[in-house]
Amino acid sequence: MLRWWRPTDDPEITDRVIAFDPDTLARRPVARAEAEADFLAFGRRRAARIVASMPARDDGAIDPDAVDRRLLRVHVEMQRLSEEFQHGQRVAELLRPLLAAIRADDPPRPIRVVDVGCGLGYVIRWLAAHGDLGDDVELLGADHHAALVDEASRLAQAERLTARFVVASVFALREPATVLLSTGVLHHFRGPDLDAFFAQHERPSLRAFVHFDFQRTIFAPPGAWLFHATRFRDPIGRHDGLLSAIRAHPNARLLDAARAAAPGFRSGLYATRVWGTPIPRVFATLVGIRPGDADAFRERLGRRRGRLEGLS
Amino acid sequence: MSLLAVYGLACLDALLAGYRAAEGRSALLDRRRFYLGAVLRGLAWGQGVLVLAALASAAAVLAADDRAELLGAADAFCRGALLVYLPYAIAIVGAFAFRAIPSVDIRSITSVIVFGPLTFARPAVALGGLIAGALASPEPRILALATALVCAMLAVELLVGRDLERARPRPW
Repeated sequence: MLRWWRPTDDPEITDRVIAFDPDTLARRPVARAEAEADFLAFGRRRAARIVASMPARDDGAIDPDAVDRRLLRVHVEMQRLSEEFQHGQRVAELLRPLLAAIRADDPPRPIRVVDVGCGLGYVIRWLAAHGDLGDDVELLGADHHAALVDEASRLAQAERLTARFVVASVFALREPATVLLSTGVLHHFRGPDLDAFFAQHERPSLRAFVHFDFQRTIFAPPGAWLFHATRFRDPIGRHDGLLSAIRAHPNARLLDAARAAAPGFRSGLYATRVWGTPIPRVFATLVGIRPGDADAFRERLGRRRGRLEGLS
Repeated sequence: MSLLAVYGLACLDALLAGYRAAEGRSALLDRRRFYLGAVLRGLAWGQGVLVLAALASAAAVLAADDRAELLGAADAFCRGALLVYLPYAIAIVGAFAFRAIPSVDIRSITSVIVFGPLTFARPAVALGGLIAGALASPEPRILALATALVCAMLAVELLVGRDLERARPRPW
């Protein structure tokens, strides 16, 4: 159990059982024996057992269709947790003043809000259904995983939502983002990859970013364990949910990386504590905005402006 | 009276078991009909379990020479069990009342403080009620019936989950 509080770069199962070509985003085969051996080498026997139980093809590669089906189930269970913790509302509460600040100097339309690593597109679909962000806002979800994107599109169509989902690297989109969003993505970037991720934010079209991820606190691992044990049926979700909380970057690391790699933005943290008490929130929210929009953003936050830390 | 209270709590538990069984099975945003169906299934399974328990209890009472004593022991057992089950139910229902407040933070806090930990604790609470009942009325026939009933109630969520899996195959 002490391992829960020891920072680690060990991969999550979902990081290891699926691979994409970085240029074409084509699916690459993943050898089951190698993935299993990797987890055993990390001392993660449970993860190794889960991988060993996944169906493989004759060549020893994990069956990609089986992985898709499994990850779709895990993502539906993840959405359950997002809903329980009101994540759609949380994002909307921050996006509305952010967009109002950006609109103040009449930016090109549409204002494109893009969710990086959108998965089943819960945030984008929720914003389309309930976000009330304005007619000039286009909502787009991007993910490398085609099965998740297909399902996100199907769900959006089923509920007649005006949101789109694409299989793409978000920084290679033909229609560039005005605002970047992500949830639970930052901790997947380890070491210099985190700095490289922020460095890619430095493009003229991008006006702001809002990244939500687990906040690293002493309460995060036991809390994540409890909620993933009670809310997830799939062992992959239970394993990766806990590991995500353990792998979460410290707030200072996120801020340092954002400020150093994306100096064209003012970066800060939003609402790390509950109502000004020392009680930490589950998620850390990293916000970046162009210097010219920062004062307007603070003003539009109204009584919530006290939740903003830094933004320098 | 105590038997009625236990019946009411068992119905509430079955209803919420149906809800939990439905969670995490559909990614649509509007799932009210899906949840309604699941909750009704939970209630139906719960009624099935309770009817069986009632029949078994009736048979035990009819077969007993000491009927009045047995009924008294059952009442005492239920009163003991309610000492555990009632505060648990009040905490859950109270948290639902707080969750009606339209605040992201308050709703999240109800999950962190109440719904998450108490869902986790539910099997232990079920066992705790049995122990409290047995301490109040150590009658083996009542304890055996109550143990069977609690085990069956704990299985309701799994049964509803199995039903939902069969009735509504996933698109993938």
